[in-house]
Amino acid sequence: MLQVVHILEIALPLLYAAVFGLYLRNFFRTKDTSSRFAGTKLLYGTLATHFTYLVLRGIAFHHFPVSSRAEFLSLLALCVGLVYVFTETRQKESDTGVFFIAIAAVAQTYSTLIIDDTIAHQLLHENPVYGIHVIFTVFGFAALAVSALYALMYILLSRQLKSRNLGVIFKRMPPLSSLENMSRLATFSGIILLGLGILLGHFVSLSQLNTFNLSDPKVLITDLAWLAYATAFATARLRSICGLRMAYLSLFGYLFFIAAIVVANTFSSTFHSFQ
Amino acid sequence: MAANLELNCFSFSHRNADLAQRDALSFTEAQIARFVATCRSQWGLDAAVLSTCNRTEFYLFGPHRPALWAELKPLICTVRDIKPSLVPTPLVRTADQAAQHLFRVAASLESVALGENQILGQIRDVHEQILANPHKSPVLDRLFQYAIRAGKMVRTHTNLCVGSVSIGAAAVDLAHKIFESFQRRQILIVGAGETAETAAAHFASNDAGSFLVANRGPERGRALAQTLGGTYLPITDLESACHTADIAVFATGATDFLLTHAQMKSVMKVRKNRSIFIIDISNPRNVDPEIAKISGVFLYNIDDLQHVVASNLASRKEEIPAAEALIDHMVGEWQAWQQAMEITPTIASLAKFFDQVREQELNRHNSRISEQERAMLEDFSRGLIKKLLHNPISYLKTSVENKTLRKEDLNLVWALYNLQRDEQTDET
Repeated sequence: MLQVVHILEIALPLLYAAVFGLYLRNFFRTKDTSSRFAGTKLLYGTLATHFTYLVLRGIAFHHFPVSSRAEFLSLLALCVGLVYVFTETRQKESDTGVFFIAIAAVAQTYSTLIIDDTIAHQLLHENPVYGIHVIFTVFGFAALAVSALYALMYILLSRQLKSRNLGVIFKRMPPLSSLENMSRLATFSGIILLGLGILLGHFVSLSQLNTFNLSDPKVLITDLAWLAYATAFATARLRSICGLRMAYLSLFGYLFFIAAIVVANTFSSTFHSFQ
Repeated sequence: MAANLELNCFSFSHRNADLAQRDALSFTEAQIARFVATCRSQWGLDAAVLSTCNRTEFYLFGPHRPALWAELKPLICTVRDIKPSLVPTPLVRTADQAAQHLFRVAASLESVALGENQILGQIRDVHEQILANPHKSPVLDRLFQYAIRAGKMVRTHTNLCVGSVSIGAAAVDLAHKIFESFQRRQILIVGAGETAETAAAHFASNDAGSFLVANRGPERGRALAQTLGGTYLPITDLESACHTADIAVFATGATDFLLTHAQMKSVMKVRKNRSIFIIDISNPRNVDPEIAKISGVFLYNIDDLQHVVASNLASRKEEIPAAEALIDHMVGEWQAWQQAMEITPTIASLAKFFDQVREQELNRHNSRISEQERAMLEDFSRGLIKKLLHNPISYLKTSVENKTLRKEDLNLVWALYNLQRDEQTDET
């Protein structure tokens, strides 16, 4: 099994590179509605291979594959790929894939380069609830990142349309309404998944760690940041805020969230490293 | 393809015929059928006619005729029932130049509107007419297949046909960059004149389902609303119509702004900054240009749209060299196919000759050998002939691929084995 894991480790960056090549070509080529785009099918295959790789790795090393930076990067690559493929399938829009596949390809390639099978893992990493907590959390972050990137694309395209200076963004980007829908979908998924991830994190900490305290500044900042983000998004939906304002909210909301985590990580060195 | 067969093209288009002449030369389907049938019965020529609103072209394949145009002109006048003076001097192309011309037409390099897509469909129609003809025309069939391929290749591999080149289409393209589909969008048409109607028609042909028509005159407004399957409202309700509309097209003769900055500010408050695309194609302008500064408002006037069209046309012109390179490639493929057709009768005759010799020799010994021995000799002789023919056939095929085949080589093969031409091998 270990041999298969090692083969997949090398195959994954190559597969992501091939998918990236197809999406890049699709981004720049003249659109022909009669020809079918093969990139999506290869992406499905790559993500299935990636999922198999992580499962096999977990079985081979007897822990959830989230115990080292390399494993975390690999999981992040898979999550970005899955969130993207979800939005692509829902919106039937493959023009933006090149940006997300690039992120997944870089993360997986770096993971393959630095992965080390000899690193010891903590006992906690064998706990299934902990594993699900990490998976949900990474998924949530990936979805919010995807949403922020779509929001950025919306802002750029909107600015080009406003300025009437119709350049490459105008030519290659999908319509504003599609970008808005994809961003909204990713934000919604991100809030739910991250919320579940945080909730499971609390559960694991309470049941497994003696030192856990809800008033820990790190936990508090994370919970409040998520709550602020979710409240802002829900309020915007209730007040029917859309378009450019929603795009700015998604982008700056995500940046605020990341900043809050960085602050929590930098100024407090309690139980959780968030890595 | 025998040496005396020839492909000819006689073309009439905006390049060499004025509108009246082009109208006079415009063929109906029945007239094309009559023309094609006469060409075959009178001169043994395969014919195809491409007749569009901007061009009429005759493609003829068959035995070389030194005064072909002089013979065709009266036929064209008879079929179209026009005076010979209405037929201008055609643009004449022969052989590979005729093929190249058709490929250029298919790629829309010869069209008035560079990069237009309609012509490829019209060439497909001609190809279907060729296929439907009971008298098969393999060369014209193949020629039009190559033309369709050339047209598709240019459209797929270059940006020659990308970007709209009319004001209406440019407006629709821009609207598509804001709203993916118009099916659930409301389109407000302000004005009911010809310009407004044309713009509305562009949106209607792009699946727009919901129209509001605002006009000063209720009669014309209602008429346009009815045509579009929409709702009429008086121009005084313009501001409230903007609350719900996603796209607003202004095309009236009003001399003042119909939509001011202050009005739009209050409209956007009600809309909660939901995007609206405003197209002002009136002269003088109907919409205060200052409203473009409001968040969520995308305002394009006639100058902006003309700029988009000019920029698209310039981009299309930049693609001409790439499109021409693809056409040259297709002409090369067409030449290769023709050469391959030239060796097909030779190879067939050669194989037939060897088989006849083999058969004769076997028959000569037939009385002295058993059935089993005959079967063995059959296998042996077939294998021997296959091996003997392998090198000459390979030589001919490679010469075609390398474009080094000379007429003398083919003549030598025919002379060496005293091969006889027959109907079947010449029909390629």
